[in-house]
Amino acid sequence: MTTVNVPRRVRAAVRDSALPVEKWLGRLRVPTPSTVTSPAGEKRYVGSLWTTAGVVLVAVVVAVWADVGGAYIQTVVGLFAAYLVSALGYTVVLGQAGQFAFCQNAFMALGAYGYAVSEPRFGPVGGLIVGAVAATVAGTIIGVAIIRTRDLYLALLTLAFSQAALLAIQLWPPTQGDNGILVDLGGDRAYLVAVVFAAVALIVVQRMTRSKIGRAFALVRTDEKAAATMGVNVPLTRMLAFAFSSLLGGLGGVLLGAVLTFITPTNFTLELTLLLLTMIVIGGVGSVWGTAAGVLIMVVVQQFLPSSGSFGSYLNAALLFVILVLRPGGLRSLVNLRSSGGSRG
Amino acid sequence: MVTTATFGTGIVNGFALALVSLGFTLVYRATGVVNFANGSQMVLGGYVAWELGSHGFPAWVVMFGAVAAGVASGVVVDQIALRPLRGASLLAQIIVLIAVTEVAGGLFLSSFGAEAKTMTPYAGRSPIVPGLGWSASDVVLMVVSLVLVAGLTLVLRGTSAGLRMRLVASNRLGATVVGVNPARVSTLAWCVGGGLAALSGALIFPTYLLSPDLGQQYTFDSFAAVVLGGFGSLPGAAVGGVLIGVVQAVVSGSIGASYSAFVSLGVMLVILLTRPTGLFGARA
Repeated sequence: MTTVNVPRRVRAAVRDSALPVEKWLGRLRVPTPSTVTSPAGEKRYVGSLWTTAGVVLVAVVVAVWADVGGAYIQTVVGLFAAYLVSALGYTVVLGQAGQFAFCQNAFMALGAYGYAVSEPRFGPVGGLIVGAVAATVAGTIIGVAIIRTRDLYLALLTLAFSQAALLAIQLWPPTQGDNGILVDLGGDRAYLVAVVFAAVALIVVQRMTRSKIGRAFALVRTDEKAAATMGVNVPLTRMLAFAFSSLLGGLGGVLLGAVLTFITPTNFTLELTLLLLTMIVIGGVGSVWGTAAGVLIMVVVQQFLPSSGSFGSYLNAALLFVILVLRPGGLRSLVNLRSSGGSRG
Repeated sequence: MVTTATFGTGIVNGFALALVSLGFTLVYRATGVVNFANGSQMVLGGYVAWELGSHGFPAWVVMFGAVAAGVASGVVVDQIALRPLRGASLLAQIIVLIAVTEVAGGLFLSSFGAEAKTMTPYAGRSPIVPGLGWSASDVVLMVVSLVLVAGLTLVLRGTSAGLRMRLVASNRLGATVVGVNPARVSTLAWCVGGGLAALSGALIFPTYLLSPDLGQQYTFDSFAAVVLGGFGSLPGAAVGGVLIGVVQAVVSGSIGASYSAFVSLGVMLVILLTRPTGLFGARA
């Protein structure tokens, strides 16, 4: 069994957060998969099927509840589902792959506007495809362009991209700029579409976390050199993280637009990224179930906020700050005191 | 239309950017933290100057007030936002600084309204340099910018405070060992950086319209200037600022004013892809 020694040591190092880079990542602890390598005798993860069944069950219950609950409940459920899809994408790139991306709002805007502009001609399915492709292409381009860019530079580059993308959308005549544009996806039934997508996204992301690519994300986040040594294609993995998160961001944007039924570029400012950040930081960056909890909390909290004014963004900022200072691991760290427990996320 | 006046405007814009990126570079040089709230501090300076100016205070009081507000904002950011996070991850610090920007934008919006403000220039607005179309205010802006770039370069290089700042940025532990208090140096840098950002705002906004959402745009533009010039290099930031200002003016003169905002993203992408150290930067 000498052959498994090296991977085991690396695995232990990753798990114990003993690598200096993990220390550098410091207080924003993110779940480390329990199976970086899976030598024989390792207890196989068997929860996935039950998890899938559970997610489907919850989604059906929520959909039925919204169906009988009336328009208000439907909007809130729709918002929750739309934010959840985008936040899951965000937590993959930021928390799991460790890339400092701050442009999820731009991906959402590209998705929503891609849908809104193309839906009259290609129908809802065609619109969804256009929206998703628009966001994913942008995400992939970013993923390629950042090949030599990391950390701070990456943060500012993605911020600048989000600014530029939003401006481009505003200037492009078919989007009708600040006058706004109607988004029609199943009319009143938009929330159902959103719930279906959210359930699928939850299952996919949860499974992906424990797949080969999910482990590659974790390794790239922890230590790019170690990842390369273990045979991970680092540039490709970083690109995939961006592509995947932009795909979910684009879909989430379409769904958000569909739930809101009418969008302007102001729906997709940097404040949206800040809201998503609050959601995933509350739950614990990188954690799938934590993200779901964070999205739920923020959507519920938003229902009690005054609809006008900047109070929402003050609250976001305050929450972010308090959590980062007091509980950097988010809710997850309250539930699972041992960091290895977080790998269930 | 691209005329010599376009280049004149671009050069003034460039010196304005250089001025903005001074505070940015200083904080980075001294603490290793990139100040994402720099643009907001600059807009703060602009609003304080506007408020004081509209009450008819003389120019030196206006400047002093803006700088004082900027220094105060630097203390607030350093002590309240960043101090509890000292030793925390880079990501946490970036998130908090972005949150600070958002809060500042919200505060500006609720206290000054969304409509753009016009400020009375301290010097004349009519052109005094023919061809380039520079007014007396523009010349003052450029002179102050040049003097501050040169002065700060000398301070960082030649004084003990500058030496301490560079020491803390390069090796925090080493600084502690030789008796430098990193927390104090960091507060000092944030004070000076905040003051510089606010001063640049007070100087720039008589030339431009002032509105609450400008902070982010200036942060990106000044970051592009810094990336182009080489991170951490003050003269580099000045050269980068002027280059970006000129390109923006040419783009806005030939294609359209709205498109000049894409220049900084384009420059950042090209530089970070091809030459991450920038034109003058020694280290990545």
